[in-house]
Amino acid sequence: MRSAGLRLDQAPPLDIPLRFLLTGPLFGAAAGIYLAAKGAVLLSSPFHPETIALAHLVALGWISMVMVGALYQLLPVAVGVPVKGIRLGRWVHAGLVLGTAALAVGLVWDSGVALALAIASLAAAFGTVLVQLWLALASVPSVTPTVTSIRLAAVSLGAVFVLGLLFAGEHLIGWYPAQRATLVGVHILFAFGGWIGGLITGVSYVVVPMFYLAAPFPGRTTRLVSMALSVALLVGLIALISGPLAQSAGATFFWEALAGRWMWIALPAVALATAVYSGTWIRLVLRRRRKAADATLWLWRIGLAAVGAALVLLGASELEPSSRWLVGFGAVYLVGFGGSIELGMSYKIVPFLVWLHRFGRRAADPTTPLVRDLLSDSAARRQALLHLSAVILLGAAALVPPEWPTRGRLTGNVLTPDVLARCAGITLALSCGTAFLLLIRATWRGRQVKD
Amino acid sequence: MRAFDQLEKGQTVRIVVSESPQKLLRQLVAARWGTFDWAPLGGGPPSWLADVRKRAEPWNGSLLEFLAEDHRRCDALFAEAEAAAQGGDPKRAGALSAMFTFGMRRHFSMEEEGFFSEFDARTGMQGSGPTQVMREEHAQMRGLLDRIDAAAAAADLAGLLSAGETLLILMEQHNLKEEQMLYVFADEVFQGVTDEILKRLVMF
Repeated sequence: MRSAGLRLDQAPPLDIPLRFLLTGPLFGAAAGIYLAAKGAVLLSSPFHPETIALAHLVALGWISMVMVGALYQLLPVAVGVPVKGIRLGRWVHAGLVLGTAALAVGLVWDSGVALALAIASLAAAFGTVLVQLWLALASVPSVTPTVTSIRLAAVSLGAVFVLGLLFAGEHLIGWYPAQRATLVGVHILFAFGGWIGGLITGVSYVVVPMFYLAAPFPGRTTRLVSMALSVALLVGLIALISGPLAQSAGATFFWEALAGRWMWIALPAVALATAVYSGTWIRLVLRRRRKAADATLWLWRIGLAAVGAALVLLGASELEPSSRWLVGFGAVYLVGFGGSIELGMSYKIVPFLVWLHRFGRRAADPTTPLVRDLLSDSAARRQALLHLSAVILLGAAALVPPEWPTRGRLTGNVLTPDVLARCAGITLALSCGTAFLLLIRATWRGRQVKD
Repeated sequence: MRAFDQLEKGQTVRIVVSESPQKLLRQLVAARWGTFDWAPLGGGPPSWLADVRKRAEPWNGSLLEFLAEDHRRCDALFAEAEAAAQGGDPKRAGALSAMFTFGMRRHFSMEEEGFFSEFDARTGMQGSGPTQVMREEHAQMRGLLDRIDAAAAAADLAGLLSAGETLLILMEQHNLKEEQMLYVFADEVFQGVTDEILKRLVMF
């Protein structure tokens, strides 16, 4: 019998999810400020240490930060498994904050001390998350599509984590492994496709029907999406381990043939997963019961449009090897896909959690505020518009060729790639700063009325 | 009864009567159990309102199916009431939200008075088990239902929407916990007597 696992009051303490969900946009704002300060040089190559620092401010400090917070909330409430040692979440949060900041500092100023600190903090934080995640996933009451997707995300996070530590170690001791490009490719594939893609789809199977009263995702969609994602990840894994194997067996020909081609299988598989998922999402949301579209639904739409655009850019980079496509892909995927959906879901979850913890018991009292009093839809809409501008400017700044202004008389020397990059940075900083203010105000209003 | 038999499968008929339709319901339960859905939409003088639907899909007779379908039915009423309020139609919004709040309160009664105590007794989890958490959430939701009713009575559409938005998230995460855990467990606990319980619940 399931009675042992049947506890319905396992929601974590309020501060655990909130600290992650509120810190995320701050790192997004930091990334925006950094881009505004340094300009187009940050977008000129994906392998520039400063570009890697910028990417990780977003990927770790914002996107993964929010994802970890969401997992602490969702695993107990929506999947029905307690997270062991949930209070360790506070330390995990501190480790993520410190580790991400130290990583950026270490990369930008080439500081060994900072990199060592980053490795230690991130290893402790993600190591804890991985153990908690795996213990929880091993004891789920039933394997729903959400559980399958989160498992995929958990495996991927493990791979991203190990490769990430390897790269950081590389910088620290100056040791470069063979087939570095493949390692980087696999790191990004697992981070974007498995960790971010797996978690967002898995969580969406619960929250999209719940928030918009849409029909549940059909089993054939969820199966196809996780199968296609698994194929892509498996191809990446084979590419990863076949290199050293082929070399040790002397079969370098095989390795060379595979090294440049593995993305040709992985990319269509990811594209298939994206197309099937987005198609189903659009169909379900068009037929949803709640007719109105609030800010959060618009952020979902921006997110799905961005993931499509990002994949086109990635495809373009396979056809025409230019760093512009890759940088554009990374920016649009992280900020446009991950960022949009996380903002939308934070606007639902943060005010609701604050309301539930502080006001739930006196819901009937007409003077008790409601969730929209904590965070209004019109304010969220304005932020969503700002965010959309940031995504478009970022994409444009990444894609515009360096020689661009000399081609057109109209823009002259005013709207140079550098100016565009700085504008994108300022807009991103404003957008994320606004998001943070909305979320902190929702939290603070909750406190204020209590006393 | 004859009117019910003449319905096509999947068809619904709305009954508006001036006295409690419990007698008709008792007849349906006795003679047509498992072939119909019964959804009261308002009760008490001067009139009683209910939808009777002839099931098109097979019936597996579990608590999970019965109560999850009632969740979906309340969701649909919520969405209709919300759309009416957003469309600026206070009369329609008021009528639909009244059906919604009635349906929700009936659903809570079915659970709290219909099987929670027996569930607690059979599992030995009195006062501390999952039903206690559900009762507390019901109390919070009742508070919001009262506010929806008050807003509807005052034709305050913004207030109705605001209370509705808060209720929806609370209600959906509550339903999720019930459907993923409590009902599944209850079906195991009540094996063999499920039909008896369902026949009791439908009368609420």
